[in-house]
Amino acid sequence: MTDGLLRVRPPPRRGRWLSLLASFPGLAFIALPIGALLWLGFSEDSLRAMWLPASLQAMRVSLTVATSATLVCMSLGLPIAWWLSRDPRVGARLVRGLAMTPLVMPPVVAGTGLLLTLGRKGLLGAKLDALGLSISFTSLAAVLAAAFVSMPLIILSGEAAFRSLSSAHDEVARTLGAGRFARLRHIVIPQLRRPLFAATALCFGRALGEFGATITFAGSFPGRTRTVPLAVYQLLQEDQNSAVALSVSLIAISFLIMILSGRVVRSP
Amino acid sequence: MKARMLGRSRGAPPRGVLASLMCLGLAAACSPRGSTVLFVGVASSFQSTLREPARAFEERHPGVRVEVIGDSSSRLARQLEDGAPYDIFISARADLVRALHRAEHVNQPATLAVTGLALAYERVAASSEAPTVHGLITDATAIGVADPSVPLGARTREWLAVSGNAAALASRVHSLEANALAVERRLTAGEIDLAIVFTQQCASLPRRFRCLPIDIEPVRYMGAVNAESASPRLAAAFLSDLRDALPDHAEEVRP
Repeated sequence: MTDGLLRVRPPPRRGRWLSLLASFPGLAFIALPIGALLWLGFSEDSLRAMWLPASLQAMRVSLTVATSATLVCMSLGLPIAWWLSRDPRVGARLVRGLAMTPLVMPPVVAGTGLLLTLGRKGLLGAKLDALGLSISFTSLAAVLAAAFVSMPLIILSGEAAFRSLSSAHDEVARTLGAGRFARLRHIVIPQLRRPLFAATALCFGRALGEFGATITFAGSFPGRTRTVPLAVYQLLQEDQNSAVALSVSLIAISFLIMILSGRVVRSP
Repeated sequence: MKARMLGRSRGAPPRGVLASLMCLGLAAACSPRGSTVLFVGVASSFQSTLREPARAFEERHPGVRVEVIGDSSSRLARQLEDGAPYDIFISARADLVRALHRAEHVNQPATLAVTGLALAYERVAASSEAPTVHGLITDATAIGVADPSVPLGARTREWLAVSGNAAALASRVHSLEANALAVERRLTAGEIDLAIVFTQQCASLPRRFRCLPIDIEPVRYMGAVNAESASPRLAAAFLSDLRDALPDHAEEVRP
């Protein structure tokens, strides 16, 4: 937050070409596999395969699961982020470490953990099963699996967003007589909007690409838990054109999300 | 107005975009589901064999959709134990199917198909001599076999132990694949020039490939209805139709 008080110095122009040259191998490393998928994905067969009922069904499940998982992450993750941003004296490191663990945990292990907790024979799942409630291998399981692996992103970005809140603005508004609700509406929310949008977009993107935890905890049932990544995995065994076509559609959505979140964060 | 004075900037974020994506997702969630779905959990090697019988069953039973889900037998069995809603389980691992039956997870299993083993290789146009098993192995540079933990790999190991080809094969093995389908994929991708596969896989190989049967006791694919199937009668009917529709693959090899 500079707002005219501080002037940010633009990056030096010297060495711009050198830095571009240095970044070229890395860019090529990322772009080539994506380019190969796009190149194959825009063949006539692949484009036709993109509109097959199975592909559309997987896309529907993916969007549903990612949307629901994002909502779960926002409702469960933002309170943690808010608490962490207040610099609690006790337990902050432990909680932060715990909250970040799903980020570095292999997704298959995460799925196994969920299965051991909420599966039919799991710690809580067995009790729920006795009540006639089953979570594993349902659409809810797919949502929980995606939410579990995406949650750290919203906590991480959310904490940064809460920390970036300027108390000076809030103080000025308070001295001018603004009430608590007015300050929340006109000061806090506008300041949080961009970073939280970026956090939400990241979370949505991660949930959209989730594979390992989902296949372990929710299985791959068409129309219920078979998201696009699972459909791609299944199709690779049967029909590579359809697999590539679906991959391309997922790349397109992910790319759009990343571009949007980047634009929002960088916009003045 | 107050917000603007306090520094609300131009270039408002496209908050509608993410909201639209989310609405799209929620709207997608509300789309109708009309038909009864029969989930068939099947060993990957048998997946392609089920395609035709599944379509035929759907035609005979309007409003019923058969979804074939291929994976490793052990993973499918574990999922079934954990409550996965497969209506039918089909595997070449008789021990797994029987264990599931003993634990009352599935009903009485039945043998659906019998399949032998074969050497699959790319046809050489100029060659007029009839190939032999030993000749194919010694001529090959990269051979694909399945891991001994899966039925194809276990039966391959048994055959090697008695056939005397173990030494010749050992130096040419390219990799141990996770399942029969993975072996087939390596062959069709040209990464190996010889593969040990199930004879029933030979039917789905591109025409440039040939199969030479191996003399060993065949593998039995067994199927059973999930004891908790949502549509047990329909599942039993599908299994029954499957038994009638599937030929005995033990001797069926493309000439």
